[in-house]
Amino acid sequence: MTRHACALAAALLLSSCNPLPADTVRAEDHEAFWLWAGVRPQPVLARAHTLYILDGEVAGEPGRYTVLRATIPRVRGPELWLTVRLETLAWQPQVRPAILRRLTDWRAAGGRVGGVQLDFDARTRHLGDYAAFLRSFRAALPPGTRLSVTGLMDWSAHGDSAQLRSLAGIVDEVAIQTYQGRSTIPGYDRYLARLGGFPIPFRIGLVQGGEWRQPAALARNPAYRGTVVFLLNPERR
Amino acid sequence: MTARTRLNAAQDALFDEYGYMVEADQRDPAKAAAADASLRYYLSAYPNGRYADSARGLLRRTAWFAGNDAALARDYAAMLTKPAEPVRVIEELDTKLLDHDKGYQAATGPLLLAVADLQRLRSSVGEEQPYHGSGLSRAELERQRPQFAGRDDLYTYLLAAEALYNRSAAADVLALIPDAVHQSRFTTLQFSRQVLRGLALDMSGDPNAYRFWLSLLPGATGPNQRGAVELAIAQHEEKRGSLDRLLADTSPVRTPALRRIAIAHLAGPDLLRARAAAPRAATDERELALYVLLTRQLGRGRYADFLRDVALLPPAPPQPHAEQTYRLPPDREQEELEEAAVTSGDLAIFRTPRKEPGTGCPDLRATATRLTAAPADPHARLCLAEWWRLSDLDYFPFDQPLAETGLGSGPPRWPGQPYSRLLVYQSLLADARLTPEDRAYTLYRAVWCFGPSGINSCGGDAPKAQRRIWFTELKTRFPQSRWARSLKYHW
Repeated sequence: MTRHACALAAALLLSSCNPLPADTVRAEDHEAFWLWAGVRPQPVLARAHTLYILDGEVAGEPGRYTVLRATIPRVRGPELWLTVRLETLAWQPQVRPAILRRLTDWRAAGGRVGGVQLDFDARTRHLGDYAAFLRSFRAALPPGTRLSVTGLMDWSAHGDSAQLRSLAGIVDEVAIQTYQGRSTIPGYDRYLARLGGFPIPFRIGLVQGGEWRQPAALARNPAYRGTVVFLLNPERR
Repeated sequence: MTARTRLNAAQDALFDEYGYMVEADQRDPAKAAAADASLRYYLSAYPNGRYADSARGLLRRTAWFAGNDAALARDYAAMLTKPAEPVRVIEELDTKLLDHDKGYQAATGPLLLAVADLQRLRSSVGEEQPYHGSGLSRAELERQRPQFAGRDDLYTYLLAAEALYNRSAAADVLALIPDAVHQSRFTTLQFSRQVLRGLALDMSGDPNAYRFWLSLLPGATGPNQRGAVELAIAQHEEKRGSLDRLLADTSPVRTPALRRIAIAHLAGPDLLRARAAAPRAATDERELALYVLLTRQLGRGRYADFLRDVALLPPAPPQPHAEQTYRLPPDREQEELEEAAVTSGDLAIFRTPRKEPGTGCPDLRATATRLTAAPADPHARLCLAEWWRLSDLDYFPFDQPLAETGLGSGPPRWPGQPYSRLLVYQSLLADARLTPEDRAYTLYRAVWCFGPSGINSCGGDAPKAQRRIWFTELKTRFPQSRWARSLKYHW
């Protein structure tokens, strides 16, 4: 049943279809989204302010760049971020120029591309080394291009403050992911409670259909930049 | 050149502004047909031309544009018999053919059809599955027989898989696949056939099943083969209650991930102590066993045992050095399980636990000693709860079953219940011996189980009305305490 039919039926006390629990992440409540490869575009994209679109991934040993999007996005309106999934930081020499070429192509297609986002699961105890990698990558980005990275909630709990702060001079934002695969990580609220002194502007990453209850303290955190929702195909939610 | 220009023109019309291919009914067939025709013209004129291979490859692209699954299936079936780059072919057909129902229907045998059939036999339970086609019936499989001429081994395997996964018809499987378990090595298909037979033996409760799996082990030398057999053996040991045999140094179950499940989720205190002290056990196995042993001893009231076994703690390790490379290991799941296991650093909660100032709690050993003499001592119980909280044990993962079925789905062989801070606080609040200072702190901590978002992380439960009562008592009876002053919500 569609959501509207459910609401009507519930109002009439007729059927037992399940309206979504209040904590369920609905894309329509948010303004920024991740659009991954293989995810069919949804109508809610039309109201996005910010779009993180997966362009390709760096994988293999050593890593090479594989484009995963059939054509360059031609989106007008929202701010776009060219997102690259990393399976490895050990890159072949041609990977960085390939990504920069894609960035040029994206901008040539007319989109307002704010920057590049790297999606990599950097283990908390290796943050210092990841920062070194990012410093070098950042130096190669053309002017007017920001750098965003995805982050683990674990960074806020166990990250060495000095290492996190070193990241602050290098990346413009961290998108902290509250989900693993397609489900929200239990206990996310306790991790987020430790974001009080987080030294970098951050967004909170949610998964469509997952769980989200916004902690009261978040809105008062000057580094908080809002949510991003990872969109899923309907049959996967 | 003409062909490529037409191809680009077709492409522009086929993808939306996000770079996603539009639905079939929104594509202009004339454009794809035009590109296709140009490519074929080129190939007829220059069958061995410089661009012939590329043109042939691009014909798959125009077939894809046109939604011509039959042509795609024919091409992939042919490519699979002599793959120059097997991984690329597989990746391409996964995303271009086997990602929609008509594509599955178009698959032709024997190899491509077998792959499509096996995917369709997958259950729909479990969120992580990519799309895997509609269900496959026995009748439909029977109609495919001619496509498997000359591949009886593959076809009978498919029939047996359908019988097992669709209908749990173990007897059918045993009739279709004879015992051929005593081989020095197996091809993937041979091995899969024997595993299916083993699963059918398990399903029918055959007394020979265990011996069957043991016999399969010596020849299980191909990729991923040994682990599959070890898992079957481990499940047998769990069912028989022979966890000590499962975890023995000489056990056939050697895969670390499987042993970790047995240690963390299943083993009782005596077995854990034995593994924690086993001289030939791997270091991380010893450490995991000790971590689980000591945590559960404290959490389930075995304080004297804790004081005795804490002597098994190895000395604190030096600072770990950073790894040189950052590659994910090829087996991603292995890494996730490794993340769940403990490292020697985690044993720090027993050596140098975190403390909260102002609670008046002594060190962990002193608390455990007090509890050994007086297990109901309120202050000591409160301090144990503090240690539990500050050691991040609210999310101790090993008291939850790993899955609904299979290894690790049963409870650990421990008496007692998993530790719950909330239950402890509730019990303390009913204890008249609790001092005023401790009572104020207990109220504070009980309410904070539900912070910062109203989600309880302490186990047990207490409705909002109850939290309100605690909150009110803290504020009205202990207004001067720092806990009352700092508590703002009761969620």
